[in-house]
Amino acid sequence: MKFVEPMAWQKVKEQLMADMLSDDVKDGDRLDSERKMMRRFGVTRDTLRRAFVELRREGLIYSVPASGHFVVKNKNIRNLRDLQSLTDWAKEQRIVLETEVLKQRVIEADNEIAKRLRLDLGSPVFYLQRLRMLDGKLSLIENSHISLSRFPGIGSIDFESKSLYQSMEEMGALFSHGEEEISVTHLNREEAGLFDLPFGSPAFFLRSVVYDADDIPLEYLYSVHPYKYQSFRYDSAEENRE
Amino acid sequence: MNKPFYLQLKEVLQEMIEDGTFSPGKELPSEHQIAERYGVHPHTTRAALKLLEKDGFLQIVPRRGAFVSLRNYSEISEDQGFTIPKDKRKKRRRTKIVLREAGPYYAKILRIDPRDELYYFKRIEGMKEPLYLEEVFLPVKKVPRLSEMNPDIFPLYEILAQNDILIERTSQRLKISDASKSVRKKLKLLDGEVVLLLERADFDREGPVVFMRYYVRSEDLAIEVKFKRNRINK
Repeated sequence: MKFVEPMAWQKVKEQLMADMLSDDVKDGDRLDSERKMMRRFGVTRDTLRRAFVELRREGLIYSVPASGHFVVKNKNIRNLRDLQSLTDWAKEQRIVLETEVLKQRVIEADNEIAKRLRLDLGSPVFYLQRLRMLDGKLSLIENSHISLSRFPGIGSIDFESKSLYQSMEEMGALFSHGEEEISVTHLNREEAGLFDLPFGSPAFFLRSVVYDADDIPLEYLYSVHPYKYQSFRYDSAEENRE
Repeated sequence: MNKPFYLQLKEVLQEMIEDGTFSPGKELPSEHQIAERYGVHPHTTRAALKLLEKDGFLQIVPRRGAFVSLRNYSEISEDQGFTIPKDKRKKRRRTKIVLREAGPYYAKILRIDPRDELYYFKRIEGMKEPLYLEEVFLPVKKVPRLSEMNPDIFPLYEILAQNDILIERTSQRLKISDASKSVRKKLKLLDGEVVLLLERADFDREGPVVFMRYYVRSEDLAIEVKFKRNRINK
């Protein structure tokens, strides 16, 4: 078996990644100057810059010309294991969550909605589109679909002040399990405008269905999250803090 | 009456598997080599190997050879967390494994010494079109004889189980990343196309065992995750 030596830029990248794992390094910290790092690693500026390019690509740093390179940490990281509502998650992370309802109306189930909620085509469905702001920043657009015949009173609730899950639970829903598909989309003009990002920017596209214990679909949700603000985690057990 | 040759040969080979002459994961000599050694016709060898495969002792891979089956563990947690839909008719490409020093980053993640050696391999999954690129970082001391166990034939989790390493939990991160030129080339992506970047560390009772990174073509695949409400909200 051949022994390989990582390339010089790779070594620099890995050392910086290791540095950034430390709790002492905070979001927005400025990395040492290029000159200082060239001395530290004994590499040329080209080698160093190659490492920065790779770190930027993965969203681990951002660079400001004539100012330096800055650490990106504390993205909105949601653990998808627990079926935790955004409301509860924000509370736990001490993030201020604000909601703006864009659309709230009754629609007829199209093919996709009918399939996901296991309803007949054309059944009345409550549709709710919400903008979600985390610490004052628009972070995702959520589109919820709920069977109106199962939750008849849902249309009259003010979802800017009330959590959807909580309202549904008060109507007797018992959330049990779910499945989610995560893929990549590109922002359309409307979304790009809302997020104040360029048209076509990549974003997470999440689609999920949540069921009760009898496997009856309660909510079909799809949401769009610009990727700069978001990553997801799945930890099968709570990590032991050492 | 004497037993037919292929049955006799099967018993001889089975014994060699059971006593460890051919250890789990190992590739058997070719049909011709076996035939020559025992002075039988290659057809006889093939019949014996087929029978061993039927009895679960071997896994025969067309155009590659016959491999000694690994012990089967029923609970393999490969599908926990984010799962990338797999192509069932997966091509078996030879995986080139290299050794490298863990270095500061992987040492921290795998909780080993930065000077410890790692196996590193990179492979592309997919049939006609590439679906994702997988990178594996595995400390050598976890599986001292990895190459004998043919990681391109057997799933990594079975190989780990064979080494008495049982994965108990996983920690995974998913983000969107720009693709480097080499990743774009391997995954046949256009300039500026992004990938889903999935990083996962799997743990046994003692700690981290293996670190993996997947660059997933986001146009074709959705990553799936199942979740459960297993905590009562305060």
